[in-house]
Amino acid sequence: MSKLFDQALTQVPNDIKRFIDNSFDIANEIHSILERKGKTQKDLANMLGKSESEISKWLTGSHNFTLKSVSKIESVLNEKIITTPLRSQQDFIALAAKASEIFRSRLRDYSPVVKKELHPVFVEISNTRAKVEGRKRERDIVIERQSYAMVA
Amino acid sequence: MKRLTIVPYKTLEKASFYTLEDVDKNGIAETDEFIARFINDLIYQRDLFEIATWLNKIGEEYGALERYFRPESSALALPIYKNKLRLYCIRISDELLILGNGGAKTSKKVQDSPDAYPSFRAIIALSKMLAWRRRHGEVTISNRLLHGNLTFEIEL
Repeated sequence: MSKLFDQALTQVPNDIKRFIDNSFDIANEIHSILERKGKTQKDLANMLGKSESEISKWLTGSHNFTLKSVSKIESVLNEKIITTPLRSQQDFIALAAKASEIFRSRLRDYSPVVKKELHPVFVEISNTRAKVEGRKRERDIVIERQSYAMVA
Repeated sequence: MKRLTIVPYKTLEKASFYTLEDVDKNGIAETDEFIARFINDLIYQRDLFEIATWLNKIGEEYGALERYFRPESSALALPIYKNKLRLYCIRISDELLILGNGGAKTSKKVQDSPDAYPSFRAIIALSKMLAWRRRHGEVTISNRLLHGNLTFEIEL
C-alpha cells in the first residue's frame, strides 16, 4: 500500500481539491441530465456544434469549464447545471412558502395530530426565511408564525 | 527487457488500484516512482496534485467508470487534460485500475516526449500481454482482485 500516494494527498492545496470536486460535480450533473432526457454525449456534441471527443473530455471530471461553456450547455439542454448556496436557499424558501400557503389554506383538512407534527416544520421554515430575507419581510413572518401558533 | 509485476497499490471505497513493480529494481512501485519524481518539483507539483486528487476522487466516490476515461483504448493516460504530466493506466473495470509510471509530456505526440514515452510503451505492451492472458484464463478477476501469473517481461 502506498504511503507516497497518501503523502501527496495530504499536500494537495485546497483550490486543487475544490477544482476537481467542482469539475466532477458539473460533469456528473450534465451526465445525469443527458440520461434523464434520453440523450447521449453525441447528441450534446451536435447541439453545441462540437465533436463527441470534445464532450467526452469535458465529462472526465478534470475539465476546467468556463462560465460561457456552462451557460451554452444549460441553454441547449434547457436545464440549470450549476447553482450557488444563496440561489439554493432562495429556491428552497420559495418552495417552502408555497407549501406553507397550501398548509394554511387547508387547515380544516388536517387532523390535530398532523397539525401538531407540521407545526415545528413550518416554524423552522419561518426561521430560515427570516434569516435569508432579513427584516424586509419581518411583518409577514410574524403573522405567519402567529397563524401556526394558533393552529398548534 | 524489463520484468514488471502487477501488485496491489491502494484500496479505496469504490475502486482498487494496482501498480507495477520492476522486479529488478528492489520492488519500487512504478507509480510511487512517478510521484517521487514530481512531488517536490516546483514546475510539475500542481499537475501531480491534480492527478492524485482525481484518482482519489474516483477511488473514494465514483469508481473508475468508463465515462471518465477515453473509451477507445485499453491502456491510456489518465484523462487529466491541460496537465503537463501523464500517468498511464489500464482500466480493468469500474472497480479496478492498474496504474503505471509516467512522465512529463513536452510535445503534442507522446513519441516526441522522451520523459513520458518509455512509460507509455511499457503500459501499452503490458496491456496487450495482460489482455492475452485474460482471454486465455491465465489471469482472472474476482472481488476486485487479480489472480494468476502477474509478472510480465516487456521488450523496450
